[in-house]
Amino acid sequence: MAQLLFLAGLYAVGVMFGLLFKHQLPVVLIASTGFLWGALIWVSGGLILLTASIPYTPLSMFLLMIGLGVGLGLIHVRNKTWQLSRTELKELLPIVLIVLLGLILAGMYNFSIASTDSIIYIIAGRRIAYEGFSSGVVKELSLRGVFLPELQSASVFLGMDYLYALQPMFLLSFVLVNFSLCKRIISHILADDRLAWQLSVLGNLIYFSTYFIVFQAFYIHNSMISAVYLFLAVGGFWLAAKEKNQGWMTIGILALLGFSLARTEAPLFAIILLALVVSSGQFSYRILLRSTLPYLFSLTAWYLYLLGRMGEGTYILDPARTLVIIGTLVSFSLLVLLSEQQWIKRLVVPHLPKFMIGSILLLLVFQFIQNPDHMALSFWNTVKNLLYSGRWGITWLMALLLVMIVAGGPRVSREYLFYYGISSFFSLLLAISYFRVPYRLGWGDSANRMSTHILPIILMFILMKIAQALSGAVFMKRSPLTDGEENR
Amino acid sequence: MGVIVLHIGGFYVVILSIVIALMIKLQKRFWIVFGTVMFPILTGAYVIYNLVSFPEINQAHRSNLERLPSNELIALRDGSVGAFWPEWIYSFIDIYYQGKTLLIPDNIVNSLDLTQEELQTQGRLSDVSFIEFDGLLSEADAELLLLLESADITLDDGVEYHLITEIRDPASPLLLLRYQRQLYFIPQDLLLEIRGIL
Repeated sequence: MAQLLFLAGLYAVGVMFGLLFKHQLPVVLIASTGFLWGALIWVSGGLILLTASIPYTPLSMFLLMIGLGVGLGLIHVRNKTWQLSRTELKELLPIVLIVLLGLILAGMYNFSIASTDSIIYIIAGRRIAYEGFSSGVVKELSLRGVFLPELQSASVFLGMDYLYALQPMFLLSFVLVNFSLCKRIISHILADDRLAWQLSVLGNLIYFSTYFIVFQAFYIHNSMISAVYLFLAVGGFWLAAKEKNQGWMTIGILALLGFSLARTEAPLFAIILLALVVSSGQFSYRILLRSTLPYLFSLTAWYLYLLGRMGEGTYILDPARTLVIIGTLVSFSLLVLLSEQQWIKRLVVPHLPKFMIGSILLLLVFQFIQNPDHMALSFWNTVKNLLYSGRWGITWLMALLLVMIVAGGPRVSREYLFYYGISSFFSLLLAISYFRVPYRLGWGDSANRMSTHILPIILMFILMKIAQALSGAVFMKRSPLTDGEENR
Repeated sequence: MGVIVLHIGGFYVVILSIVIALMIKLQKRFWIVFGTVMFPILTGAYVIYNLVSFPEINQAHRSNLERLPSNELIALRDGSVGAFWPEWIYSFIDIYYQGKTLLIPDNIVNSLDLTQEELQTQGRLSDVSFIEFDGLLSEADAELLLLLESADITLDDGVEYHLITEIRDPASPLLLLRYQRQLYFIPQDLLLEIRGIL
């Protein structure tokens, strides 16, 4: 019961936070993402207390959440966002009911699955609650990211062994977010709302009927968490560009923060996405500064903290690699800061995706020359996992087939960004294997699990292409942004 | 591997040939047919395939979707794959014995992989003391203790930990006892009771 109240509390705080953007964002999305914001707030709050050496106790976290709730309440009163119209309530309540029902079911039926990593996450979480960021705990965090241990640490406060309803809640949020974002995005391409709805349902069915996705709804790990935040970030940025709406940009950046805290190497993938955002030319200098710099600075501060505390580090993140991540974050911050300079604006920004994929490919060539057996093993094991040994069934065959078919169809707005993003993701995934043991065969392999992050984005791209093809044929709905973009 | 590649290649050639043939035949209408007919059919077939193959994939592996017998960490661990790390013992000690006093007999101290400091910091025991006591169990004792309610953990090196979870008197200190490669955490009062039986 304590677990359910805690998770429901996170959802309530998240919805309360989301409603601050009520005038900019659909209420359906606010209700769908409530749990994600609640979880991110808990993790960020815990991080602030722990890095500031304030005792991390049930009382301090309770006071922090209460303080935050009061603060949010005051902002709601000032902005008059606390009042919900009948229509908004009609949109909000069904989703709240679905979430509560899901929560009750997740609390009743414990189907949790664990690997060695899962137990480490849980135990690291328990140690956070007792020891704070002791050197032993920081070592674990530098291996596996802070997001999940920080959430699991609440189990100690609640008098439980671990939070088993947590992972299913992320899957439920993912289903809701996937559906609402896909529908919103497709509605921008297709005038026919019914067709947009049907396509979104089909997209959801492809993703959520996959065995490995359902499996991960109960597997205590960060894959599902990373996947939902990354998907939300990509969707948020796309909609921010399309609707010229700052609210979506904020959603995108916050989701990217959630993604970046889930795994230690995640900021490198996040930078790929941010590079695409910057190079799209869709955002003003002011918006880029206001959105990306707080994210980049807070993440840099976190990695500096890790650097100062990690000692020799671990086989995944040692001081040298931490410095690479910090260097990447600082360099990107500088790029954003200087992006208004004429020569950067003209010569660098538009070609960022090409520089990015070019650099990663060069790195891969170097890595294959340096250690061909290691890299070839990682490559083939990843391919084999996606095709038959990673518990994906025929998912990747299906996705590849659909991509091959729709690639020949009418282009969607800034389609090249998707191609760059997806190919950069896989290239970087392979490149990072050079710095660790090669990827192995089996579902538990890192690359196999991390493929969960990119699959929903590929599926969304397929849906967009199909929607574009249909819109070009009969249901054309043109907007100023898509005009003239289709054939770029 | 070769056979799989052949099957996949064949599947792709067939599907893509159909798609290309339809593209040529239908020309501009192809995308309407694809979006409204082919894509839903492909998705439907895919979902049916997933539903049918779900139990097979699930049962083919040890780590699968199955309701756990309890919400305790030990039940999660028992159903999981991978090695059990020796340092995890401390967290289990925390779960079952937080705040208790542990008495370690002098004659087994040297054979332990556990440290006094971590038993207190991670195991959350209020006190860890060494006592003059024979900590070695007889086979009969060990067999009897195994009948008690316990959380049992076996490490990769064969060392077994048995954390007796039956608590009669919450104030009773814990004893750490040994029989060959088995280590038993047991409340002192329970041991006295059992020895009384013996």
